[in-house]
Amino acid sequence: MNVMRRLKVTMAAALAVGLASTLAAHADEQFFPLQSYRVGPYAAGGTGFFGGFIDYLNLINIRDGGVNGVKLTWDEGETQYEVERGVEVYERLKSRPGIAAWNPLSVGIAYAMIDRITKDKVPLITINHGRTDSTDGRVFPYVFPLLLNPYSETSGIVNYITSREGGADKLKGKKIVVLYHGSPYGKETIPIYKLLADKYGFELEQIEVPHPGNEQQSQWLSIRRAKPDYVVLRGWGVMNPVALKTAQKVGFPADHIIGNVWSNSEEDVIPAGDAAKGYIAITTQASGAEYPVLQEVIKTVYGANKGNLEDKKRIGSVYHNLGIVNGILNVEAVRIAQAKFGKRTLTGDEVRWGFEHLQLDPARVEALGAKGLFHSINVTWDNHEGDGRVTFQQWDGSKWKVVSDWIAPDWASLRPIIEKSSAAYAKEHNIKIRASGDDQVGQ
Amino acid sequence: MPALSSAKSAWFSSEALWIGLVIVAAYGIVPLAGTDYLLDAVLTPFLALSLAAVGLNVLTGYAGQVSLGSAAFLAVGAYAAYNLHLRIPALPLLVDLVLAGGVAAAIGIVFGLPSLRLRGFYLAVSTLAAQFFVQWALTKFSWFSNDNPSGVIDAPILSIGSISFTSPAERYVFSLTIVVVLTLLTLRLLRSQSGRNFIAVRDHEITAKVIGVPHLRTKLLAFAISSFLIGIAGVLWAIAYLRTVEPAGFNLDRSFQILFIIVIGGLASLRGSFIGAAFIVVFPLLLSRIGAALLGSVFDSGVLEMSQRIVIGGLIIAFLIAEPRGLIALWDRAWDAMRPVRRPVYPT
Amino acid sequence: MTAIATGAGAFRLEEIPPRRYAHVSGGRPEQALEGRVDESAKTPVRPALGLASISLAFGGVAALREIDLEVAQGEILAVIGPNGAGKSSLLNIVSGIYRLDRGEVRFGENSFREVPTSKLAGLGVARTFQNLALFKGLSVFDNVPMGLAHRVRAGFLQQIVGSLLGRRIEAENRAAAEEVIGFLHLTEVRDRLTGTLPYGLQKRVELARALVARPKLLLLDEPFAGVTLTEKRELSQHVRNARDSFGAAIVLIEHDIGVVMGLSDRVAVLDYGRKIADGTPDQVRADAAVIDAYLGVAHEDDKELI
Repeated sequence: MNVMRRLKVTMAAALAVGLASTLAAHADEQFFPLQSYRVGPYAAGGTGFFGGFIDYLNLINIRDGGVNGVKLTWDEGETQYEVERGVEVYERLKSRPGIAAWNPLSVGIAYAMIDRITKDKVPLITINHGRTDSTDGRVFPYVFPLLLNPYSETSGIVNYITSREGGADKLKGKKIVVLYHGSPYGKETIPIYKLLADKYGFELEQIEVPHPGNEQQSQWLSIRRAKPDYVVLRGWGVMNPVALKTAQKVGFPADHIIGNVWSNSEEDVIPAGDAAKGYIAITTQASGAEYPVLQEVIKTVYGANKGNLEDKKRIGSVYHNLGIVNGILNVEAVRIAQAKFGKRTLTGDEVRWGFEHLQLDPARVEALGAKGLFHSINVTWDNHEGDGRVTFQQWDGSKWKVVSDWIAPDWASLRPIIEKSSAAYAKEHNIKIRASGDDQVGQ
Repeated sequence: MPALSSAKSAWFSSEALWIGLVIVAAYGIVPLAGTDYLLDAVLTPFLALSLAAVGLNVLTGYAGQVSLGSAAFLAVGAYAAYNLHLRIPALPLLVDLVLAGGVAAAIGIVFGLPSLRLRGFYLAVSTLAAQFFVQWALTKFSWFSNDNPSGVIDAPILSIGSISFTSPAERYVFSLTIVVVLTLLTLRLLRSQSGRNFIAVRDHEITAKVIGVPHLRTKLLAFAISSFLIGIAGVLWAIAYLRTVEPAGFNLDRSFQILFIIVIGGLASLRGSFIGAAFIVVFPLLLSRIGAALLGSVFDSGVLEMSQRIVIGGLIIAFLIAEPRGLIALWDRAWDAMRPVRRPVYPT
Repeated sequence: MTAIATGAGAFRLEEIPPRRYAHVSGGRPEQALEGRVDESAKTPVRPALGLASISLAFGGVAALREIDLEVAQGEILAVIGPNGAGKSSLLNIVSGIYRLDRGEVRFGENSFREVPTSKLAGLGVARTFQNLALFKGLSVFDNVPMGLAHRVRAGFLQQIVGSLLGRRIEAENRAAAEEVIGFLHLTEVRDRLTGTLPYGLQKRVELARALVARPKLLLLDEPFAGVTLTEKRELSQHVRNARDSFGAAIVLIEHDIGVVMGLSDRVAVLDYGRKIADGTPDQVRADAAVIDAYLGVAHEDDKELI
């Protein structure tokens, strides 16, 4: 049985390699387990985001030799955006040494992990998405919806419309239609839009598009009848280009359609072709490759043929840049934690401390080569979102162009809603609400 | 059962012995498992899927009613347990579990009503209605997810009395106990008159009717029992395994997955349900490991996913053509070849 | 049940608790017994089966026209006729599988415009099918007691936990099945899946399943088709025994004239959906119309479904 023997030898070799890599981890390394999705319906987002994340980790390793000499390592497990695959990858990789943080980029997977990472004391990063009330670090010590939670996004969009109309008083009597994806994700912000409509006195209509959203004729006909001043597109996947195309058909101007963070990528507008021209979308990170950190990624990482994106044209795309920003935030959290605990492999709990002190002001962001890419972040022990600013970009037919300043959402009026929800969670799960951030970091 | 005992006692006891051995091994694996991975990422989902497959097998394998709505009943069970726990906190979890199964059974009967008129392909299409309706209802009415803004809910802590099941090993033991008890009860049911009625309705409906089998009641009973089991499997899936529930996790793909389990494992075979579930859970993991070891980086996730689909698709075609009784038939043949003993009268 | 009747004897009625017998035959065992003794023609009780001007058409094509037929208790009636004459349609009407267009079907006291198929067994009617209609996925020993399925009253929960009532009925049904299996020489294969048995044996299992309920009326659709000559003789002996031991009225469709003439008390002949003759075997054999029909070209294009 020649084949059998060869198979056995190969298996043994694979085992040996696996063992060796486990042993090698005793050198100072910080490990990032990646629940990526490179196939399946959401592959475009997954390859861009995880590609950007890995590109940035590579940049730190190649250019700086790691974070203060601690090498960054990672391993990918394919999830296809499916929860149970995400859990499988979690269980498979969770016993690896030196895990810094988990970054699933999937609400479903994140929910399945909250119990698990809290027990295992490792941070869970849900940049731009995730469970809104996990912003409350008093109840969710290990969960970080960095930069932007769905509520802040809603407020950011309304604030942008306010500035375009020339002041909050001008919103009175205006009409906004929210076209949302018929899923839990799409419905999440319904009460927030209502709240803001009451506050600013604009007229509001929220219309659902059933999943997947490849037929929107009736929705856009009612939009045409309603004659709104703006349409907010809270879409997902194929729903976005179809919305833009249908809007063109019924004659609604694209520059009065505002997309949310999951309707803001190249993949959302290119299939709509001409109809997307003038369309505006919110983002936490500008697109484009002109920022110094992107230039360094191109030079150092792609120059060394270690780039993660197969299609180099996607460098600087929305998802890729989100991955880069995610990389910056993770690496800086490790760096901040190292300053306190020592320049060595940190425990998950120590990295959690780093995230709770992740404060990057615009000057620091500029020093990191990301000025203009994103604004700033200011995470504290009880605010795990970190007051991310948003900006708005307009599609000119071939690329996104930033058309606004950095806008701050109205965090103060959102916080009470968040605390109400997190308090309910704490009660349901018998969680003691933290009274301060000085609690001991467990080993 | 005096009438049964005489001739069958020989294999009855050897069967009981085997079942006992498997159960002891299943509990005995806990201290040996070592890492959480095996328990939490392989065995617990395997148990939940096995129970769902047992449920579907009762309906499709034994009673001959094709269903493409299994995932809907998983979802009903999961959401029912969540809501019962949330809204009637006084109820112990085990009661929640049984009631959740009951709710799934009731919904199962409703969606089983078309089976009184429809057969085969047409029935399969009508069970799709269950699939789409349940998913739609759970997304549409946020009451089901306690008005949680994102619609994704987190599972209650598993506990019976003062014992709580939180670690992977504990959650595995919890699931195992539920699955063992329900499987044994199902086995008993299948060996009773109701079980024979299932087969009668499947093999020859008109004759069954002429003979006096209450065939309408039998069909609805099959739907009820099947949905009950699948509903409880849904509770295990959501609460013991994933620790979260979202409607999108119970889509048509999941229904097909369970159907594939019983086709590959073996229709009308409880053991086949377990073997099929083991195959569906373990096969992709093995394939990715072996593929990565043999082919290295060429074997990335895209290739893996594709090869997995090709292999499973091919297997289904192969089994349907060459061995409609599935893996369990191969297993029995191999076993017989090793030790020529008398097989049970009919496979279970 | 230790004393299992062997093939040589008839059913041993005295071994069966009367309570159970009462269950099966709907509470009038004495009548059934009388039927065995009396000659069919002069029996004072109502006929086991009566058909009054039965008509049936399939989309304008008449399958049965104005058929009148009576079968007395304890009588064996053979229905013969060329293919497509409507023999199987007749049985399908009697068992409620086809809805008749006109006419009426009577079982003893009960008469029906539409025969309720699911209540047949309760009325004491059992049948076999032209093409095998066994439950292939069940063993012989599980197939036969299915003939008594209508007696199982215990709900599924009782069946799971094994309630007293459930266990008692189960044991009784098993015993009855055991007896019929012995009676029809099926003991050898009792644990085999029926789907794996040779044709002749399957026919016999089907007969066993019909007999186990001790029906008052037994409908046999070509019970001897495709079996060997020896088996044919043996099977017809069993059919006769069923009549002799518990007084079943038997309607039998058969092509083999030799068997028919030897076995039946009376023969009815169908042709093109009409009854063209009805009498003792000797009368029918001499009937000119029958000879005509049988000498003529056999009708093709069988309408029979089951």
